Amino acid sequence: MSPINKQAQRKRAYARLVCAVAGLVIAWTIFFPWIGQQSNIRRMIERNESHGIDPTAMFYTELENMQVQDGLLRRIDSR
Amino acid sequence: MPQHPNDATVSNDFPPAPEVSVSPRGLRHEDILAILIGGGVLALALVCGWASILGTEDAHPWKPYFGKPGDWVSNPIPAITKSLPTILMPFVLSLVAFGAALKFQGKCFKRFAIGFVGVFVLATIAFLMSSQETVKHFNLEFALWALLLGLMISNTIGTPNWMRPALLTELFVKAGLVILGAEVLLHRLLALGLPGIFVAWIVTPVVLISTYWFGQKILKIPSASLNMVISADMSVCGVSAAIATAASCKAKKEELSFAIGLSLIFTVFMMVAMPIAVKAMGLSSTVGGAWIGGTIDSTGAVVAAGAALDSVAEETAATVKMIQNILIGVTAFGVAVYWVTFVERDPNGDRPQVSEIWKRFPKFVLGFVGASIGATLISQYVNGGEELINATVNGATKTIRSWFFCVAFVCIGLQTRFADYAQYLKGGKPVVLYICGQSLNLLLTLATSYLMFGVLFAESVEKLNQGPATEVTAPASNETTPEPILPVPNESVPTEVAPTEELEPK
Repeated sequence: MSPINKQAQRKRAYARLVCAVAGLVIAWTIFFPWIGQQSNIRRMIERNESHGIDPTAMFYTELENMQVQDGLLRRIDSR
Repeated sequence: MPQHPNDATVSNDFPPAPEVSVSPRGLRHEDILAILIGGGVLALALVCGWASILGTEDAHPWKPYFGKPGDWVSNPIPAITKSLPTILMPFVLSLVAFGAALKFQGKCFKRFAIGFVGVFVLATIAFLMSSQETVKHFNLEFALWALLLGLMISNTIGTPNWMRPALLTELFVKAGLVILGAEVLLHRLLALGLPGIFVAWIVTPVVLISTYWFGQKILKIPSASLNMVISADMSVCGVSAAIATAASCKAKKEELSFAIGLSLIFTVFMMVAMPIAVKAMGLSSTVGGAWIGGTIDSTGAVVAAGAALDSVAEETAATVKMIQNILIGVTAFGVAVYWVTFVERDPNGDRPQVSEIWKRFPKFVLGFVGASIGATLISQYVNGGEELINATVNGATKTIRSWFFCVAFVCIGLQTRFADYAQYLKGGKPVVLYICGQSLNLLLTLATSYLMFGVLFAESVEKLNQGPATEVTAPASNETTPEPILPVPNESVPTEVAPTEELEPK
């Protein structure tokens, strides 16, 4: 491959990366915040927030709102 | 996948374990290094926690210094600037621990350090992406974004050479798993008593084995390790089970990431659909909660789905999932033994000798199981042990192993081409495997939950539907023992509650 072609290919590769990063920035700063304002989603978010639930918890020890008591995993706040 | 010529640990698979001895050379083996790193972090955190608890401090002294990027809605800058000091400590610890391991292997620390800065920055961005409000509440975990960021770079400009010495995927995964071992407290397998044993202990292995068998014999999936990772991921507890099983059966990196992606997509759907299904079927909170806990892959999504019903369902679901979480210790060990004994054996050869099995056995599993047994013994038999383990895990080690896993997924992305995934999508067999296995899981768990929580032990769990007599408060104190709502074979059960052995089926 000639140096000119190689350079052009490299430019295209960087352009693809910049486009992908721009897509992520738009998705995370505009699209997802907008989705989060839709009534059904908002309700789900508010319910989880009010109960202190982190749906991304990977293991039971990451459930900040729950604690093992009498062998059971119980919510810390009263109900 | 091109490898860096000076980096022997960078490979496309979890490599077969070479022979390990206790000679200095054997100590340099990756599994042993993972045990040393994971065990060292655990031991240090336990000693600091113990000293602190003796000094009557409530929290672990590391807690203020180890964290992840905070939550945000549309502007991530404050989230990152606010948590920057707590991100630096995991970076320094990882750099020192893994850098020292590399030095021990006779490799260049400087080149690793330069590469690790890049990998760690990507891991920080992945955590930041997963802490966006909407993304977080859809259960789209950091693993997905860490992979995506790595893939974006490797599939556009290619992984930069300066990053390659830091791509120690297996070492990050295995050290993280050893640390995770301290969270696998075996006595908690008995939570919920007999009903829990049936829902989690019986159904989970049955679904795991049936799905694996279905994949091998009916679907004839070419890769047994992919089949095993999907089966464990789907039947046990999602991402954590996938990571542990993949390392135990030496699955390819793209197999692990494919299985996790598959699981997370279905989890989002099930998290929304299952509470609706429970309501539509008119199931009680305990039966519905147990069904949700036994079937949805991800722990956080289980709690979110349970909470969509009520607090009884939430606690039942979370407890069933906790038992499944703890089953990953047994699963990882069982899969490792099965793999070296049956899958890796020469089909035309004799049954492998014990020495051969030992040679192939992934040694880090011993560190994982050892950490689990050690933490269980401390928790059960040392005065103040439960507080010590809780403080150590919550204040330090769970954050550290999350960073190790996140960095590992960035490395997987950086070492994978999109084309590597194409073979798995061809014919759609893995997707069919997941759907068939999950369907069996849904049916079996529903039947067992209904039988155990709705029929045989209905009277003893009836209190769940009414809620506890006393409110559950005082998060920091373990002396608070409100009236248990399910049969618990635990010494801490107050005397007015019937112990497990007194509970007879109707």
